[in-house]
Amino acid sequence: MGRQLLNSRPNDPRPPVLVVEDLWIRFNAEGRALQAVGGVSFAVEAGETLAIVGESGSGKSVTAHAIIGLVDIPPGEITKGDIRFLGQSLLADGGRLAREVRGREIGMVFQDALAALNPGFSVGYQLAELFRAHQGLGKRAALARAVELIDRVGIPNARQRAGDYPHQLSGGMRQRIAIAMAIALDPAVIIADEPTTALDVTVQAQIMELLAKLQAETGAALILITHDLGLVAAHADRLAVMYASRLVELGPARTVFQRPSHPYTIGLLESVPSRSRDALELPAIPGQPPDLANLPPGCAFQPRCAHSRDRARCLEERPALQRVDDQQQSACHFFEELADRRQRVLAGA
Amino acid sequence: MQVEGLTKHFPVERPGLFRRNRGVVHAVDDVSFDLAEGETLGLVGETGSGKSTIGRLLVGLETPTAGRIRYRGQDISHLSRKEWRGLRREIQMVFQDPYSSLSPRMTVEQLIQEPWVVHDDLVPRQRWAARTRELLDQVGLPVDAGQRYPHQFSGGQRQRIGIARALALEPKLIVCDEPVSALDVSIQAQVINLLTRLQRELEISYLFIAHDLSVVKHISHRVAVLYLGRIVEIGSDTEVYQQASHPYTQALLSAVPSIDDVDTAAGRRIVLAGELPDPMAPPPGCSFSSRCWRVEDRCRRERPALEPRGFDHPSACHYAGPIETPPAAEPRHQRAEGRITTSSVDDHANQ
Repeated sequence: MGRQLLNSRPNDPRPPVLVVEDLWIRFNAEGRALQAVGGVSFAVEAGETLAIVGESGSGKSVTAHAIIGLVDIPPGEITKGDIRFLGQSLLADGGRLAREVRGREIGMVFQDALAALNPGFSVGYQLAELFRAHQGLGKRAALARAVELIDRVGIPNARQRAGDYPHQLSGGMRQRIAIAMAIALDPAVIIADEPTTALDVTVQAQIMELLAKLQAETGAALILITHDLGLVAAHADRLAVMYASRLVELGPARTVFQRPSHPYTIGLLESVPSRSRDALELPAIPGQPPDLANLPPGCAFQPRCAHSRDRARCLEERPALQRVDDQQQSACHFFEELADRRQRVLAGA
Repeated sequence: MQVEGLTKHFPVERPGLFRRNRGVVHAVDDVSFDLAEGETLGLVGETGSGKSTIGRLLVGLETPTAGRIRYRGQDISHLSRKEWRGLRREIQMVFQDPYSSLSPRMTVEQLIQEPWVVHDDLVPRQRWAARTRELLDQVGLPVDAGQRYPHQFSGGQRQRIGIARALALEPKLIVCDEPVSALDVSIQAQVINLLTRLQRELEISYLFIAHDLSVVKHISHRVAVLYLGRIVEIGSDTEVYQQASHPYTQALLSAVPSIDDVDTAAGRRIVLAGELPDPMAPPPGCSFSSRCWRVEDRCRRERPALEPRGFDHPSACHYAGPIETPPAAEPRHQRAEGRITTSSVDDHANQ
């Protein structure tokens, strides 16, 4: 299983569980080629929570779907790059390994739990099936494990609830069952794609607390895909910011919040209404995200950037992700000039 | 606008043999508030709290079961469709998804001008084109937008079209039902700024319905917190956000992750047990009693009224008061044994 493979490299104390390397994904639709993911690289370590934030169309979900082999090909096309799970390529051989690890060593939680569950079987049966199919348990033993798991995700009267069908459960309960399915086979990585977006805030808090608890217990890496910066502030160790198919900033969540090193991150943080600072006008980012079928040759954020001032380099040369310091990376040609603006965000101006 | 004892019940047929189990959902129960000219009142609450129903009652899309809505002294709670027509001009609504409220076959210009056909005394026909350009400019859309169709615009721009259309009748009050929830963060800020600017320029009142507490705080002068159809706390934005005295408000504020949290210890979060009770069978006494960590026997018997209770603003809690020492110091697993439970879920949630 995953953990053994991990331990087989004793020289490296914390090798990344998952590595995404220069990933390029394109969707061909109606004669147009949309660049969904454009050269994204990051690594995730065991036990850490990496949040990927971005707005609609930024490529955050497509990246996650590629990891678990859920990008439809065609119309999707992975044109370049690789994804490696414990050193092995998930894309090689037509994505054979991706299909193999999906749901086992890489668990998934989606926004809509109802879609992840089969409406025709009781939740206990669906969980038990996982143990029967993958661990060869008998009917009885598998069901016992399922009940155990239902209890573990904080559902009272687990034995009774095991007989419920998905439609009999509330949204929060269904998401708990979906989480149970994701962690059933003790995965090394859990991918949660907007896991709480469809839930009410008090239930949201319960679900996030549960995910954090299970992650601490299992030592799995958690990739949290979200548009909610508040959720990131409360739960992520590291943060990757995506804009128009590209990774624009990567670093420890705290650092990125306090000293953002990309104009888009700065704009994003400033435009969120905060409860502690009260300004009459929110500093909104002007304009719209670019057309993914027609990305500019230079920096994709340049047309909306307050800092670029139409400098030739921003217009012509696509900025690579470069080191800000040991932990933080930025895809801005002029990140060094941003020190003043960071201070402003800090001061809450 | 004055709202007094507003109540809306929806009859429901529970699935069952012979459909004998008729029940009633108390969507809105005895809700009262005032809304002054040029003011924004924020309504916050979770699904089923009744916030959207209140909005629909105010614009006449629903008729109240009991209570009164007065607009400039006139009781408008039981007006006929025809009587509403005159009032429609003054009270408008902006929806979450402008796409479903904009006819796809009409150009933006036609959409904006449509209300003038009904209210034919408002803008003389020869001024239509000029006034349309003014409105487009006012909401930050390019002048040539008038010739295009809704599907050719992004979500944020469509919301601007919805706002321009609402403004066409020069309303005094706009009910905004989750107007920015479907938009991306950077676009959200643009639309919020537009709404605040329009309020300054045109002295419009807003009833701003949203579940995002930070957005509501930013835009509102006063805020009402709803739980199961009732207002549990109402006051100025500072009163509600900084001196919350109702445990539900306190839990809600603490449950919502905010970007400010990066500097706060996550252990201070109050995670409420359970989910919203069945709105057909709310708990007796205080409707929040089934999830409250400060619950006493009295709460299960006696419904608390919305009263000042020694604070500057009213609260519907028998034991209203500042949040007790937050359970931050204790490790998480121990907290579960105290009054504030963590992730465990009450039985009632599924019954």
